[in-house]
Amino acid sequence: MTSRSCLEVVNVTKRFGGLVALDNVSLKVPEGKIIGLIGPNGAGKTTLFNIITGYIKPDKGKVLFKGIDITGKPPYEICKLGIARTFQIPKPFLDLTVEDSVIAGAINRHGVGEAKKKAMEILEYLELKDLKDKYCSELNIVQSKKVELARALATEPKLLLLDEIAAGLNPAEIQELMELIKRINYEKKITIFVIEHIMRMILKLSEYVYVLHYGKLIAEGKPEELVHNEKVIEAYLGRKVVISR
Amino acid sequence: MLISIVQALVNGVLIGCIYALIAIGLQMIYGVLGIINLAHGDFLMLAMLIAYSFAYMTGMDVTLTFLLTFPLLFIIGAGVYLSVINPLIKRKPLFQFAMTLGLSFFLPSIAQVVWGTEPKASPSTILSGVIHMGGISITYSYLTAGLVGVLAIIALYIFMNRTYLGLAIRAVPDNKDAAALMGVNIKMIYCISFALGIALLALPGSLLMAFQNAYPTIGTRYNLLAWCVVVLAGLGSFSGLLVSGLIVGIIESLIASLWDPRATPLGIYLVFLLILWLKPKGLFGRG
Amino acid sequence: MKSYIKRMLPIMIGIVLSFLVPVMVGFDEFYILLATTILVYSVVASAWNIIGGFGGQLDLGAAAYLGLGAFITGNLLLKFGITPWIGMFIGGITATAVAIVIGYPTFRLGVKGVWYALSTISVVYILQTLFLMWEEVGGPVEKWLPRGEASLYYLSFRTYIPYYYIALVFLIITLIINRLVEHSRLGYSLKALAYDEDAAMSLGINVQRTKLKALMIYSFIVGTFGGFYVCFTGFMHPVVDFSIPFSIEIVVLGIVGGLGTIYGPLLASLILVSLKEYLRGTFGAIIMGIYPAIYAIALILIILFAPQGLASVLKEAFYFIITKLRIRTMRGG
Repeated sequence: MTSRSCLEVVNVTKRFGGLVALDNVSLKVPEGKIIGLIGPNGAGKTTLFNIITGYIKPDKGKVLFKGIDITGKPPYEICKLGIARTFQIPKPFLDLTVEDSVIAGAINRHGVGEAKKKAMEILEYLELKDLKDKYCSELNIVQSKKVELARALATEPKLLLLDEIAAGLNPAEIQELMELIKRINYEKKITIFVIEHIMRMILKLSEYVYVLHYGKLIAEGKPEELVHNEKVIEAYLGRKVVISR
Repeated sequence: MLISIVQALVNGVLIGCIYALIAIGLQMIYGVLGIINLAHGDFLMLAMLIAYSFAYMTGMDVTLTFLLTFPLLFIIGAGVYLSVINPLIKRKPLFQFAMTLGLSFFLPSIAQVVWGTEPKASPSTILSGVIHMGGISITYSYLTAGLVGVLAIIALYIFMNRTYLGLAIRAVPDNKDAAALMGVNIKMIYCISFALGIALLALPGSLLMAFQNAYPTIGTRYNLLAWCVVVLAGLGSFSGLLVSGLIVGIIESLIASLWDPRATPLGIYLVFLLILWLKPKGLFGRG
Repeated sequence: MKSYIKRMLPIMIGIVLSFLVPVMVGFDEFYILLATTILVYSVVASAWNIIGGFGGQLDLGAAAYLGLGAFITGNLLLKFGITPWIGMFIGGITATAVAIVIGYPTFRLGVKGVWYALSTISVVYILQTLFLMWEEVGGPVEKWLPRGEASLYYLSFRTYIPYYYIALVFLIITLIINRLVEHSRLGYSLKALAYDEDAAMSLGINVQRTKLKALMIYSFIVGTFGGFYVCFTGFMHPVVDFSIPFSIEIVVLGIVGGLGTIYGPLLASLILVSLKEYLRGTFGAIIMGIYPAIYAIALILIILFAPQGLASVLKEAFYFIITKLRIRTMRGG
């Protein structure tokens, strides 16, 4: 982990009542890479994303984005600084068309005319152009996820956080999505931080992976190293969670 | 001065019990169905006018008419639920809210058709007397209202916690799917809860008739007042209603006696705004 | 270009027709009064559309802003002889100021949905009570505005025709503002946050500020219009100007018309308020309460059977008729 870090999480702790959701978590996401975060359900992955993107304030610790302290900033400011995200449970604008949803992502950096152009570019890039006049309520799950991705890309992020984007998809769709994520990373030079509990996907996709278990980082390393890490195997198999599917 | 404050407190406590009674049904409808009913005061108006008519037709004392009003309101409530609320139950909450707004137009106008716009006062009741205690006077009607209010809330508490139907009603909002799996008929529970929520207005309706006039537009005032009591208590809290009803009653009667009777909405709605802003879960709300 | 003309054509026809209404009713004062009343609802419902339709905020405070504009304009005219044209503007500014005082904490503290609705309607109650108590400017007895010579400067006329045209201009301006908002950054942000505030924030949309902007535009239009309204009715009364049923009716018209479109609230006010006034004219004197009851039933039926609103029902009906006609002409030909 030598290259300059894009995102740095330093000693973040978060409690909900008596429950410790995140316990002194520190990690780094280097510029230009695809980094993974895995862990069984309830490990605190989404909480960490919510802290990074400003939806939740941590009890302790800091979040640095390109060296700037963004801890506790509101989500819309964090987005303007260049972090975009998708949600674990997609949050589509059901009453809007696909095109308008993506425009809504682009307007914070551009005027309406320019935003429309930008939105079209992104829809074309993600091969969603045919859907542009459909309402988000008419989409199937893959399409919803892609539109959410398009919306996030429209904000022109430098760092993209993907929260279980493969959940609910079949293997072929997952494969397609993985190619897409790699392409976005490579062609658009966007750093990507992925949460997944489907191990196989994340191991194929990311260059470096953190493992979160009950709010604690229990392991980190290159994917091929982690497969043989005992703590990881225990965390997953001990709880009877399937590694691959 | 002191006497008038004590008098105002006593009045406030007693009227507050009626407010709590009014709010019970609203709390139940919101708690079970999640519907923001902005026509609850209009149903109360209906309860008052029906109580008046029963007293007038049967020569019964108006405070006792709730025995007749209750079943009638239950039927009306069930009818309203089945005809206009149930078809909307799977839609966005906005539409159910809009429907209660529609009802808040419909009920007063239909009441005008039936009863006319003239204020209706019931003939004197057994509760017309006054007790004097060291400079403070308490009318029987207020006293009864207070006592009945407390009793009704206790009875409802027992109903909700000890009977099958009560427990089923409580189970539904917590987990709709689990309740359905356990064989609870959701539609019936919704219907019963809505009807019961309306029927419970029979008590405050006939009690209010003992010392107030009723007319078709009187409900407007209670539409929001009832919400004020519910929000102050916190959503889902039945016992809290008694406290919040008292708070609203006391604020109202203190302002009326110390400042200006016309200023009472000012105090109540300022408190309401502050609660909505600062403590949206109310004083005793769940979660 | 052709599609532009095709789109503009109905709008142009609408504008021309609406300007011809007084001629079409033969300058009959009764019908012009009726048409002006319809316009009053249309203006307020269209202004509400900005916060309620686009932004999804159930604002029940329309009467608060209308009343403020009415009382400020009325009192400035009555006490200081200040022209309603200036009064209107001051009314609009004051309404906006009050809207900010209420809206800022409300949005900041994340009061949403029906809680927002309840807090806005309590503002109407509070203002109504204040003006009922404050006898200097309000009080329980209506205060009549002077009706002297006909004068555009004092917005005082012997006939309803000028009021009709002024209200019509208000409506056209409000619709233009709607159109501008819809195709602006504000419009897209509003439509996004109307559905999901968290998702909107993740796209860099400052939810609080966006809502506040919409609230300011809406309250300014309604406040200003209140200044016209008081000259049109000719008197001030707290219960009439800060009317709770009016506030509620505006929201119902917005919902019934179809949320998120410009023509929804407009069509709802045009059709339903005409229906109401027609019913009032027909049954009003015969049986008390029957006309609002029928009107309420109409609203209830639309909520029940037209979830997408009146606008989409009419659209479907229109296409249905068009296709039927086409089939018939094809058969005929």
